[in-house]
Amino acid sequence: MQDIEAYFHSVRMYRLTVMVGLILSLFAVAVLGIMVGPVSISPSTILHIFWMQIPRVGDSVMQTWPHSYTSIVMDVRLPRVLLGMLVGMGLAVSGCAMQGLFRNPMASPYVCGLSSGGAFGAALAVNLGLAYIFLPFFAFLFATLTVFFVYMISRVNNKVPTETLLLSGIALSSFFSALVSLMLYFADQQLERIVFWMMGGLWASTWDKVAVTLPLIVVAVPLFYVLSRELNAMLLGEENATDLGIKVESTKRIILVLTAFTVGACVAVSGVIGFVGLIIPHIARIFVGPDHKILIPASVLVGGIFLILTDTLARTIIMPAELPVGIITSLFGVPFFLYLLRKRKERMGW
Amino acid sequence: MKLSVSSLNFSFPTKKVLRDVSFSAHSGEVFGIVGPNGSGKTTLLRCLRLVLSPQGGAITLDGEDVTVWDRSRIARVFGVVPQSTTLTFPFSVFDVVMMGRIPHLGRFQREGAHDISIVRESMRLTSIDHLFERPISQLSGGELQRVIIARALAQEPRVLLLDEPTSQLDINHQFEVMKLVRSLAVEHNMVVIIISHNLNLSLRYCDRLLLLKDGGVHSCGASEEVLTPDNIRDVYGVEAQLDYNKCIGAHQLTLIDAIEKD
Repeated sequence: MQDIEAYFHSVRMYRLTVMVGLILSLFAVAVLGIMVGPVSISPSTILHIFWMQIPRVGDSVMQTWPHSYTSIVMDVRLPRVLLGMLVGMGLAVSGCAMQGLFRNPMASPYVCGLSSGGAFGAALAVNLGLAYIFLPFFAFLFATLTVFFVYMISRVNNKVPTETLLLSGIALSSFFSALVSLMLYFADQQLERIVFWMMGGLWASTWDKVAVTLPLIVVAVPLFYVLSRELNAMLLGEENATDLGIKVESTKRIILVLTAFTVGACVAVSGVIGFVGLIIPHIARIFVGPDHKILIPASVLVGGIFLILTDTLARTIIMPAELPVGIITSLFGVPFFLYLLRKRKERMGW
Repeated sequence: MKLSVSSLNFSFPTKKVLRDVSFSAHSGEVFGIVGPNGSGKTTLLRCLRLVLSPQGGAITLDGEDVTVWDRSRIARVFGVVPQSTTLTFPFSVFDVVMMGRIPHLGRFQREGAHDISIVRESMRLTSIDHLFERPISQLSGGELQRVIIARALAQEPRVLLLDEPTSQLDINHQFEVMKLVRSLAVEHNMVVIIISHNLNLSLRYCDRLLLLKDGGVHSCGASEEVLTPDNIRDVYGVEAQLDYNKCIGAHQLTLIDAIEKD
């Protein structure tokens, strides 16, 4: 048996190690994602290309690779890897916060109707024949609207019981899915675009999309982290949290709004990528436990790593064609998750 | 220190739960709330700490109006051991007790040496210091209850409210918890208010009792003066006999039979 201070210290050391490991893995996976594709580019070339981008300093770099490589790295693969990372992070952190908030292992942006709402918005934009730039905007708008709608429906006496919130989310999610299917049924020539949207994918990743998502994720993740103490206390029950001085109802509202913005930002650029928001927090929970102070940052990093990896697989597995990454996340993520679930169930607490 | 409640009323939209409840509890004593199911005990305890807002009536601590305090201030004064806590998540005992420090910490403030020493002291008082690394999901019922009490103590409360802390426990743990509660009241000079279903434990460990019937105060006073055979018959509909037990130095009830209703 060790002393409490030693224990406190060892927990912090363990968490630091996990974080450093995850950050290094994220870098490694990002480099891998930029390396592979129809043409393979070596890590040293990638490094040189990055170096070249720095004004003045970069001028000294001797170019020993085909000119097209620079544009492949800078205009195609880098934005795609970045976007994958951001979307993975956003979905994972939202799922993590929702599971904590609802004390329900099945909670995720998908289940709560956010993703379907966003997909409906996108499909609507396509069906109305709007220009492509309206598509993300509509996805974002409807994801946010869905959350507020779900929240309003479930509100009883100024409180929002978790059970009704989940149930109305699931109901609304089915409703929007049906609407999207209905549109698919009638929209003949636009079909392909909607289907791709529903399956989720990171094709046509551009710096514009990165620019939409990056600021939102950069703002949202620290805000989620700041709420980790509240989330921890709420895991023990809402009355317990209230007795520890937490304003439970306003915390719920803040988290729901944050989630809507984050998921909206993700759905807007990548469509409905299922399962990331559900399984990534569970995978993180298996390794770092239920404390949101470590669970949130770990989920963020694991989410980023996971989506870069699966997207890399999605675009290389049937080269030169590519699969929607949503298919890969489920095809590869689910068996891995089930394996972990079976082996380390007791560490999750569900 | 004195917690006073006067003319407290509370209704749910369809049901009046508390009618004109008045009493006061003092530091250094264990004040018990007893009464049949549905008599309003838990609701009363929730109103005391403003989890439910009473509709009329006053709650004061040493003359200061508690009802205007914000949540965080309430949590710094009222430590609570609620009826149920979700304990399926594998937080360590240390983590859970540390949560008691939340009301004292600023939003961006980290837990420091001062908080650790308070957590350590709370765990020592509840004799769970040897368990600090264990996940709460692996503890026994008696250990868990002590973890929750330790968490309440880490809040450094002046008032400790306990809602049936012994109902899920084996008899040996029931004694342990009641003795602990008693020592907290006497040695740490806290106002301790405890809801209990176990009338004999209440007779033994509570100085004074409040007997509730249908949301109103039936009687209030020294334990053995409240749980008289007449009152038990009146409130519970049970025939009982109250005797002084020399062996334990307290009055004890012998419950004889439920009274037949016509």
